[in-house]
Amino acid sequence: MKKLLLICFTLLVVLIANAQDSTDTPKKFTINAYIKSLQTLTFDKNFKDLVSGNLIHNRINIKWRPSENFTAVAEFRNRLFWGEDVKLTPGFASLLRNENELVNMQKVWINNKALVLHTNVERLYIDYQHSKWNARIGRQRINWGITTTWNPNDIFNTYNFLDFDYEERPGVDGGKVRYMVNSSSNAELAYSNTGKKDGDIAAIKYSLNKWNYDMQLITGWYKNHPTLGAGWAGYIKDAGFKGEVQYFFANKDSAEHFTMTLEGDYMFKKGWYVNVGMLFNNDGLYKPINSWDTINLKLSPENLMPTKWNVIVTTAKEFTPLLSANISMLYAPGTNIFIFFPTLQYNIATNLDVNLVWQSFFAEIRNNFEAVSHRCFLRLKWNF
Amino acid sequence: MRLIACIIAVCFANLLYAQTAKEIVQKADEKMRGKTMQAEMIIKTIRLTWSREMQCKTWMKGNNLAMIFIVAPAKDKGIAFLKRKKEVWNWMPALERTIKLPPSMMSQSWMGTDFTNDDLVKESSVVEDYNHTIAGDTIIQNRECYIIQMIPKPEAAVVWSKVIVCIDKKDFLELHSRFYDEDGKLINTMNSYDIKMMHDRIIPTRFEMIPADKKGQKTEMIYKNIQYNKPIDDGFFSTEKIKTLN
Repeated sequence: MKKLLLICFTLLVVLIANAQDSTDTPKKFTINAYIKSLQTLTFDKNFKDLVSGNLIHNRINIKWRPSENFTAVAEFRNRLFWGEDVKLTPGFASLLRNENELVNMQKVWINNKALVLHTNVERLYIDYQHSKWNARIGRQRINWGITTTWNPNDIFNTYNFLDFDYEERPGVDGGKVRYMVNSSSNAELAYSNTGKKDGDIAAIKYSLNKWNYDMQLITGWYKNHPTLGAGWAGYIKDAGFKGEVQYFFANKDSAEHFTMTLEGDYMFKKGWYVNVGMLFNNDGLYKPINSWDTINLKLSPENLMPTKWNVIVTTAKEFTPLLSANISMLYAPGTNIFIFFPTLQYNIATNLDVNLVWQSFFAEIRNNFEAVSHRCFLRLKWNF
Repeated sequence: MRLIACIIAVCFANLLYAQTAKEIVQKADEKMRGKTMQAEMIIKTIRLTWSREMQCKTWMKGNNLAMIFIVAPAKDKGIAFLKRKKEVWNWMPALERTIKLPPSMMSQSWMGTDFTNDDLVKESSVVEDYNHTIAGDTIIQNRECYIIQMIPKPEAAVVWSKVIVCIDKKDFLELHSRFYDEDGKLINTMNSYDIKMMHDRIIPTRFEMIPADKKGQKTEMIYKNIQYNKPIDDGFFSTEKIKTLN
């Protein structure tokens, strides 16, 4: 593992050095990066107890494109955590691993009681394009989702919509081949290997654009379940209309799963944007819970939300080109789970942003609708 | 009889005049946009106490096909927009995903500037979507100009109720425009400056869009480089291509 990381970092240094030298061919190498500082305050339901967390988060994205057809990409995510959050979470460093990745390309540089420094190679792939064919092999994200909040069609690498600080979302180890049938339709075959028994995923997606709709059909094999899916993005009058459905057939170990999401969005006058989405998870909870611990927040394609029916309303508004806000509210009937998720964003300087994010969780627990916890995040992000 | 002849003559003259107004707008539009256009530009959003600058590349073909790619600042680099007829997609490089935008987004501000999406990707056609009449003459930047009133056709999907444009009589340059909302209130004023030879023609290269009711606020668009009529295949304007722009 150490060797691999050493190779990656050597490559990085060589790439950066090369990038500086190649002023006459500036497009060959591109490097971009950011540093974020995230302060987290986690309150209990009555605001009586408080746990603080600190994170310095850096990402370095490198692209090498020696010719029109060939691209190599390496992306690194370095995180330094410290504070009570680390201290109070048993095995904090072990929770940072992306379980879907086959090859362990992570490194915990420092792991003590209250401080963890962790690096992960988030992307490492080569991409080859030849006329109508495109192939990509390595660690990558296979993004088959269409809608905003939940993506049933994203069967390779599910993400958690509450994890706002992970914009790029997790990837997998695998490969994909795409064939462009014509300028408005293509077929893609993708495979990922999680390294676990029966953990392979392989599927074909056919996408087309017709009647002003982007449409896709998916069929494949998801961890020993045959699966079928479909998704679309179009509009009704001036409002966007999107949706995704995914069905996992039963196998000898587990029952069938069905997830569906529908979404509509509209931009009102004066820049008020509203997005309404719903998610149905046939296996989700639909009655009040006895304890918040029964909520399974380990998300997967079959379990995008632990609850059966979910509605989310998001409204966003740009007050000035520098200051914008959005508020998301999620409600799951049956369990009466309610999540309140407002965000403020301010652009301090050209590449410097500050975000103030709040997440409050409520639920009906033992027939009593009450707060569960509240989290407040302050983030500074500098892109370069 | 003479009266009828007179009326016919006046109608005919009006008709001729009307055609001319449309032709003037058409000439100005063709001059600015060509059959295809590739450009590099800077967009400056200016407010009383601050300003921000953005650099982008654009490709356009007719009214139906357009693409915008953001080059700077670093935090937005790689974001791209594709328009094909009524459909608009937004490529987010951090997410590695295209997001289809609702048509209602078209009339709204583009990336915080005083330009709307429609201003940039020209969904509506200044020639086809309006009825044009010559309303008079004026002089702008020492150039004689026609004043042309443009009223959108009832079926056209245009956000304005009226647009006044001033077009230079000699070189057909749109030097000044005013945009009015449904209540007839002035919303935006656009001025064009820095007339220069760009590629094969003389055009204004700096445009400022000034919202009427906001003091000290404007957006400037400056063309650094333009190439006209270089053939671009329709297939270039695809959701596949926006992923690979650089």
